[in-house]
Amino acid sequence: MEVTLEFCGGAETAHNGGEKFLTFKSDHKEPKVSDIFAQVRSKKLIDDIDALIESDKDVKPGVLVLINDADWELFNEADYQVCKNDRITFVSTLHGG
Amino acid sequence: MEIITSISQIPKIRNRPQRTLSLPEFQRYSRQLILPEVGRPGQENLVNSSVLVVGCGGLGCPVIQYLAAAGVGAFGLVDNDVVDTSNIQRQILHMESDSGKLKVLSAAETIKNLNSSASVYLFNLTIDSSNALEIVSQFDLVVDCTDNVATRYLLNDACFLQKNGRIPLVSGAALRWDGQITVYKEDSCCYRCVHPNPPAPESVTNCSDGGVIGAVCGVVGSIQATEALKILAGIENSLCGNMIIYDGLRASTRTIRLRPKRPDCKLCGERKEIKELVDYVQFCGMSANDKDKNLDLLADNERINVTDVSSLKKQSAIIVDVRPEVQFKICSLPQTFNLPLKKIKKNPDLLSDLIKEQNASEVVFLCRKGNDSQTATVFWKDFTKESIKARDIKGGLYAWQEQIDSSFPLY
Ligand SMILES: [Zn+2]
Repeated sequence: MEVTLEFCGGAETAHNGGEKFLTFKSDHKEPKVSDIFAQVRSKKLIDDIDALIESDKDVKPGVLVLINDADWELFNEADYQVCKNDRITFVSTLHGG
Repeated sequence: MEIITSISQIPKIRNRPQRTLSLPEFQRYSRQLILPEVGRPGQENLVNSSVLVVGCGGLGCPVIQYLAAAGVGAFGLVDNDVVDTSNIQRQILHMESDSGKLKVLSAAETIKNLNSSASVYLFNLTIDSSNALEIVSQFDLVVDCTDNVATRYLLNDACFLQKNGRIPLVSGAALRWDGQITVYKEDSCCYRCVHPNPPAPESVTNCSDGGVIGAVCGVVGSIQATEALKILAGIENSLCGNMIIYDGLRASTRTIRLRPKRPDCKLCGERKEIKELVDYVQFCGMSANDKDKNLDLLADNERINVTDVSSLKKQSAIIVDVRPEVQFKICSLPQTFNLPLKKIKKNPDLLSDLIKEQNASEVVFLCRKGNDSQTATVFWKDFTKESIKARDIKGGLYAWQEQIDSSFPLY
């Protein structure tokens, strides 16, 4: 299955110095978000992965994960079963003013 | 206009006697008065309402300006800073002639010119756990226009822990081309639900280091003002439970759905572990402002003064400027090499190669203010196991401008 990750709110800087999207083929036929995190980590698909992901199940404080524009806590977080054409987004939350 | 500098001076602001619209006000507010959602009751709510704006900077300025123009009756302005030339690019209530003036005073003067009927209370102090509950309690609504994480947690907790019920909080943030806005009120999640743990200090970028577009602050502040106006006028529709994410560079806006209240939230969850304000600076490991921190990582013999730089070059030392490329291109010293700190950390071989190429025996790091240059020195010493001499230039380009060349541009 093809998966697309999106970066926004400054999370872009973690991916090739500012790219908005990352598309790759999942190792799993029916991946959970945690499978995707694991793959991104083991294959080093995002260069500054440590800025975003804490573990296969969790993100760093200050980072939100959205599934189709909704907080992943509204679903099953890392256990959410990703569907075709789902949009998974990393958002860096901002604190400046 | 009284300037309040301590908690003992806080006046009663909320629940003042209600008034009706004066004759000139019908005309003055006619454009919003005729909107069915506002109407006469909505406008009367506005003139009788009070709002606390925390931070009179890039976000606070448009918030204050629009709410004053819309007829909000009473303002509390919180800021402990003075106007600096570099603020004017985005902090639109402050004029060139306000340089050096208290921000609360500068903002209040604009409000008074805009709407002389508004009452303005100036809090020229640092809002913290010793005073926040009391200050917040005097207002119908709080608008978070702060520049730091610690104050965001503080305002969240202070709005929630009110004896007479939760005070709505309109939260906005901006950095670079990006903005984010949400509202916390009634039964919605709180800032702690979304951020149970503060981000690591090194992962937080402030506007001084990261930069910000003034108009993006204007977009965020205007959305905050719109949300505040609805709440104060008594209009039910709200952003509450959602967050607007604005990307000025790609000209895109989206509204995302936030989580509901977390049952395990320490503030608003089932156990409600937090019953009073805590020490937020300690909790976040970050100070309650976005001023540049002055790092002190190195011993004196690991640093050189700008006045000694000229004697360096003869000794086959190279100067490596660790600022981002875009900053190096704004201005740089001659005969320096640009290798951004981020690149060095990611790929130290780039620096090893440069040193070899230049046949150097010492590397001296340089940056804007002398913080990143220290970080680079520590990193490099660690990486090379101190096999190559490494030092930093104390105070960076700011010191250079001050002590060597006053015509060198600072930014
Ligand atoms: Zn909460």
